[in-house]
Amino acid sequence: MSQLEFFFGTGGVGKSTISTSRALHLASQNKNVLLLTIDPAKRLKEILEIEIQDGVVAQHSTYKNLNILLMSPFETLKRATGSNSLDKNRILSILTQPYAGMNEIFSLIEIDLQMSSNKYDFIVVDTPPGEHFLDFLHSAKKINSFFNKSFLDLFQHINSGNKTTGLFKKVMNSGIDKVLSGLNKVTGEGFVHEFVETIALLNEHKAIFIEALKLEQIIKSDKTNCFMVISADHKKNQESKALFQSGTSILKNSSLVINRDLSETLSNWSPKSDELKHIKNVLQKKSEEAKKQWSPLFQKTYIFNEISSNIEDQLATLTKRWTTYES
Amino acid sequence: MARIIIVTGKGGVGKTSYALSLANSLKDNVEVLYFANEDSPSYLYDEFSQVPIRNLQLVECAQEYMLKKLKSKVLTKVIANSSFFKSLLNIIPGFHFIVYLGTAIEIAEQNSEKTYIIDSPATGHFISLFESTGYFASIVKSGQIFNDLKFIQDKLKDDKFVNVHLITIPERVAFSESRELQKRFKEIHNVDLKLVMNHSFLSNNLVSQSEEKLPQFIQHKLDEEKKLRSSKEAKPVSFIPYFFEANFSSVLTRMTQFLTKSS
Repeated sequence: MSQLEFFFGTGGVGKSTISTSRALHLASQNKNVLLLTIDPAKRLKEILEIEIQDGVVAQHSTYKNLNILLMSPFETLKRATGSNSLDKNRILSILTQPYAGMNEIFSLIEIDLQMSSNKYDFIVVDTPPGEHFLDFLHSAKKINSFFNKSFLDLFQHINSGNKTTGLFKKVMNSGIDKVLSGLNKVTGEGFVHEFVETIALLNEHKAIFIEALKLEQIIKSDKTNCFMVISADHKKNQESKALFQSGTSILKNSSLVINRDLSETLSNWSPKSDELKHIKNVLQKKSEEAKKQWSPLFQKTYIFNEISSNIEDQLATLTKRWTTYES
Repeated sequence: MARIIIVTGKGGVGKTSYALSLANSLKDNVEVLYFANEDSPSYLYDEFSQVPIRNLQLVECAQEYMLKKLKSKVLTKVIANSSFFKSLLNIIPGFHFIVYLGTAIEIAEQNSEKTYIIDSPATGHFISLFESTGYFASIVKSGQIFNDLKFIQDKLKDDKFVNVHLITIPERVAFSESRELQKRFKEIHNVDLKLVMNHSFLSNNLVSQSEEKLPQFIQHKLDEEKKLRSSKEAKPVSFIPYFFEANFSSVLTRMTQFLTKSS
């Protein structure tokens, strides 16, 4: 089974850069690696300076054993169902837009697909910032309530009879008629009809969603390595705290990554003017506070120094740092 | 000043500090609107605000909207309490954003003397905030909701009503993300996002006017910023210095002073 590794944290702390360096490190150790970003912002393209298509697995130019995938919910749905007729459903193609609410659910399915392909020793996942990672952790709950609670009445009707003709009428007479007729009143019959058809289509492929639920147990177990990334210069403590509390209560095995640490650089700097002394003091204080506050909460802390160079050299330095830690 | 100011940008660029400092610097007749969610039901930073904060709750806003459309309290209650409806809110793309935006616009229309500042989600989700009305209008195609969606879209594009302040920092990845976003909005929506560069080292006098030789990591930041500022594609309309302060509230105080002076 592939080893799963998640990198999470609030926005702008360097999740994508750190997870990319982690994937590069693993690849340099001759492991088969998939680097997957489920963040719709997809900054991996800029970090690796590559042009790749969303939803299609691409090979790294130097490490042939490193593959990269930028999440595309619709491609995931097509791959999982093996169906090409989905394109025709208008609502479904809108529901699976990258910035839509179903992104997290499809991410779970994509990871499940990649895990069962047995191609990789490691799957490194770069996640969306803060609360959207929590959305991802809750996506199993969403799947459950989607299929087993909310649309149950609707599904029973769909399963019990004719799938297309008369479906709309049946639904209107069922227990959820009030909801649908309310919707009908404000949107027109066309929408409600199309909507019910879409739900029916999803229900046909219920198995892939239910299958992905199993992955939740793996993610929450100590088999999965999670890294919470914080930035030494970062001010948004409240948000990190909230993320830590919700995230680590679900995840069993989390380490801390402190990015952009300046301690080493600062200790080699002896400013003379009061102005620059003040700057040094403030930056030093921030770095120390970040460590003091966060390190005791984790079993293991990885510290990465601030690197003043272009992205390519940055990645190379970060990758080496992982190698030092592991040896 | 527009009636609603939406503050957005990549994570970690200082959206919240900017939104709060802007609100604090305007002082009177200003309110901060926060789109609450399950994980953070109220604004995390209200202790730092000198102006009122209004937390908009999704289910309440949706109920109010439905009540207006259906004109029946009983029916609204039945629908809003059904798990079917709650699921619908969760899965339909940007559905919750439409509810929030609709509510914000209505609040602004009812209180014409006030300015409303929205501390909005990070860039990615800002795109869905802005574009969800379009997606949804294309699903629905007609009816009352369709007309309401069109109304929200028109308001978003009316620069006397809504302004978007896009916060960026002098760092390559963040800057190119803002540049892409600005371009996308100009091309698709004909909307100008006002680019604000935060964390500027060049605008910080302690650094830029220092006669002493600077350490390499600061010099590197200055060089990067110069390079980005010379880009022809995206020109920030204002620059906010990086404030060397150890805590959030001191940064806010400094930024509020700065914005008060520059307005």
